[in-house]
Amino acid sequence: MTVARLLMAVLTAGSAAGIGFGFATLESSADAEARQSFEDINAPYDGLFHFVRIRYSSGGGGGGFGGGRRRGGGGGAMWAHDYPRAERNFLSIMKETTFVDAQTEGSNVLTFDDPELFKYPVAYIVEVGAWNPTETEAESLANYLQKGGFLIVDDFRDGYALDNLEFHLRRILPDGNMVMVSDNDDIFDSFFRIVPQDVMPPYGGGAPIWYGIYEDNDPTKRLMVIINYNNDIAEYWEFSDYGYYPIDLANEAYKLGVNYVVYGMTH
Amino acid sequence: MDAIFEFLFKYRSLVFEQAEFAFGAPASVRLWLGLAGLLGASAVATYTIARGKSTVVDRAIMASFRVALLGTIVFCLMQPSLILSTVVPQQNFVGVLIDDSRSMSLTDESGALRSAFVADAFAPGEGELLTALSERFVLRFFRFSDVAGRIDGLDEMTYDGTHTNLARALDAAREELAGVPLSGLVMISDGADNDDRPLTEALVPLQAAGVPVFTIGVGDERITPDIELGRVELPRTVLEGSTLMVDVVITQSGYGRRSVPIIVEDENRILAEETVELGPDGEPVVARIGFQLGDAGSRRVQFRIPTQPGERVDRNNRRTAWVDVRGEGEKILYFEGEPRFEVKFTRRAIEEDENLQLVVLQRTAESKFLRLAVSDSTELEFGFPSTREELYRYRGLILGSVEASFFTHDQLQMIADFVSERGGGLLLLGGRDAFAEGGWEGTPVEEVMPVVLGPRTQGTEGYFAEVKATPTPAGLAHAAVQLDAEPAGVRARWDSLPPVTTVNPLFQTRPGATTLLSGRHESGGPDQIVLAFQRYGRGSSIALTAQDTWLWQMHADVPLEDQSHEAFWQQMLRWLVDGVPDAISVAADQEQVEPGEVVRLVASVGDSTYIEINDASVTARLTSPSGVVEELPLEWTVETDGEFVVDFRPSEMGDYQIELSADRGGVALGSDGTFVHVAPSDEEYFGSARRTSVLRRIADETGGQFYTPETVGTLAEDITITGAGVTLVEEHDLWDMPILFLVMLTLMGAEWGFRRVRGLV
Repeated sequence: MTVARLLMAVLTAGSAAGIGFGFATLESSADAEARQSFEDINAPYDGLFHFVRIRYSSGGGGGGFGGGRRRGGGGGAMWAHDYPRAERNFLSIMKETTFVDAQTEGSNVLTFDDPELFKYPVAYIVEVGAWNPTETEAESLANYLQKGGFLIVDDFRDGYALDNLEFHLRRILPDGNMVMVSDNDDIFDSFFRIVPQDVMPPYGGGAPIWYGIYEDNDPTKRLMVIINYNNDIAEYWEFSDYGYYPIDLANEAYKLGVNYVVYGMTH
Repeated sequence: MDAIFEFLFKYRSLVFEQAEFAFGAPASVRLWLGLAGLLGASAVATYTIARGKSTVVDRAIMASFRVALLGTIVFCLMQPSLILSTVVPQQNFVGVLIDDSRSMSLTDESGALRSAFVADAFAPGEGELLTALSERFVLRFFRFSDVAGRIDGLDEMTYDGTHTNLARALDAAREELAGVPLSGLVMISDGADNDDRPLTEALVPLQAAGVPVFTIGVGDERITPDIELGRVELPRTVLEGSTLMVDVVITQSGYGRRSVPIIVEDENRILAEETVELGPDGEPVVARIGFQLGDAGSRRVQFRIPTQPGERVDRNNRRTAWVDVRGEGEKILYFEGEPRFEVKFTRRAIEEDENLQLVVLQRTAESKFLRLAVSDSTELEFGFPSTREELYRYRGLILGSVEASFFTHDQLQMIADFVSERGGGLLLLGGRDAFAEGGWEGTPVEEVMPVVLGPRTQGTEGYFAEVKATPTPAGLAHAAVQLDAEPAGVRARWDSLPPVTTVNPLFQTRPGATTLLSGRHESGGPDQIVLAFQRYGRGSSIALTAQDTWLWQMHADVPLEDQSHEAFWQQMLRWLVDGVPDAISVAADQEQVEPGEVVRLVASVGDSTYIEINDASVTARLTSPSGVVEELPLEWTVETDGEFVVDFRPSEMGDYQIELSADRGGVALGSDGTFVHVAPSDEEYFGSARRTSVLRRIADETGGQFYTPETVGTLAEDITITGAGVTLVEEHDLWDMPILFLVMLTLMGAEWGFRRVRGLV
């Protein structure tokens, strides 16, 4: 698979972005092509940790309110924000700082309804304001989370995006309550001791808030979903080598990412 | 046959066996031989010189007949005889040992009680055996079952003994009659010994003292038709909620190829019921039954087969066992050298199991550890335990993907000792730093591993294989891999699970190790070992070579509701800590006794590092079913370090609770508890057919004879010639044996007949 083909896949997927809060239905021919493209470039399962980014179609039929918003104008699919530099940088840092035996060449891009996803129990999704999972994807994600999968939600802000996320998570886990995660939760101490308030968002706006869904709604059990509301740690990852952001802030973003992965592998 | 022998040879074969052969003629044997030679030579010369129609061959044959005839006559003239030592009448004692156990109350196929032989043979004034023995010997009677003792008459027989201990009976009689001239012992029994003591211990002193034992076997050698629940082996203790897989041996006679139910009950609750196909007539079968016990505490489990039509003995259709169900959480340390999903999913798999506490020490980076499920903030605060005391707190140890060089040599030795000395369970998981790939070859732990390490593979060209785990025949019969409640469904459940991967090429187990799961490559090639184990010292080690068993939970092909992964890990970890001993433990040598029977309490006492202690003060506190408390001090056995014993006789029916405590110099070492169950025993009805081989062995090894009620008529006379005691020498002539006369007639007739045939008359 060439870089050109990868770019084509990203662009093709991006063109399918649409309106959220409804139920997407059939996979378009563009989606099918993108799926095939990523199947060709994804690294096969080899027992190592693979960073998995969730690809989704934010278009498709369905009404509801709110719509998929594409930051920074056109050109990129919502799911692909900061892809692939963010995870490449993050994997390199994680490899240096921890004993996690990870595939550092890049991430795998999968959809929620892809059976391959179940070989990678930690998944990462962004820009969920535009997320509009199909029934199949919703059902598959429910299985994924209940079997033991861990979903990291990053890079979104605004109330409508949070509402959209909550709406779809409610579809997926009808009994799961999205609650605020305590500063003392294990997830902030699984590798680094993190003070959540120190992980400042790269953009202005509202204060960052960590939401989550606990198994059986029991905070003493594992988090199935961690939600970085009003934040974007992948932004730091992507541009940490450009000098756009203070090193301290980028460090906190990396530390939080490491904690998420270690937590997802142990809890 | 014996009668024909006695007719031809004048005496019974036993006389020939016991006596020495001699010639009674006064002159020297050489003179008689010379005379015989002369006669033979003259006979041959007569035939050689003779002329007529005869050929050389004819004359040679006739000469042979004549020489043989003359030789027989010379043999008789030499006065052959048997020199025999016989006991002096009424100068010697004979001990009569009569089996007083319950099995003597069984009836034979003829309908007669086994004890009826005793009543008939020893009836005062009427019994032929009693009369024959009394004429020759002074008799002393003993009865025996689990104990042995002298009796004055048969009216003291009860036939209610709960065990048969032949060795103890022989010892008791030998010791009682040690000071008198003893011609032998007569033992009347079915031979159904059910004591663990080897017979040899009782036979050697008898051999040394030259006391023959004459055994009389009573009862049928085969009880038919009958079904017997032969052997049921349960662990003494199990964790609450554990699934037990129990092998039940069923023996039968007369019910070949039938199907019978086996019912397992806990008090009045049916735990399991299986239908078993019996094998060919007389061949035992092994049935495997799985069930779960109830809440923590001492549980009585009964296995039974309903009485079958026409069955002769139905009290051997049930077995009862007691199992101590432990309710506390068993602590297992899981040390993982790198963050990986096995930690997460293993923890998840057992999180509902309240009896397992999986303490995780996760190395996340160099000298950085994450502790999970620790009991307090100090547990494992300095990383992996560096002292035995710290490590031995755990009953099981799991080593994940961690290189051997992480540990000091002392820690490696400590891990090996954890298994061999502490008796803990060690589980070794596959991974990039496990087995040979982790540099474990040449370490003390390598010896403990149930697999043979191959050459180390590393780097990007390292070994990576996707294998489908399949239970081996041994695995199908093992509780750890029973993923389905129905035995027939186990293989199908494993077939339904997705493949796992391994980076450790392991294809060979150590001698004595057992493979439970093997991994089949889709591309073919030799099977990879996925799960194997071995006993090592007091403990056991298990190798699980897959690196991602979590796929059995997470894989897309596995339904959400599938519990295979949870069941596998719960069973694995329960198995890992099954039977792991405590530093202080107590057990009774019999889990069930009858009132008055002796129970031996055996305690094992060690310190927190499991080093045996001999100078401890050990006390057992007994609480009877009615609440009476008694304290008994235990004594060190001297033979075994750290082993203390005491005997007691429970008198009440019910459960005796035993609490053992040990201290040393006023410092408490620990405590343990157990139960002794006092209830009627059916032990005598198991294996109750006559064991001729046992009785014959006793006779053969002591110089006695074995008899049945049909052949016992010669017993008294046999003792006179084979027995010990005060004896005199007797000489018995053999020249007038009918066989010699028959030989002579035959030789003469043969020569005459030959002449007639050849026309030489």
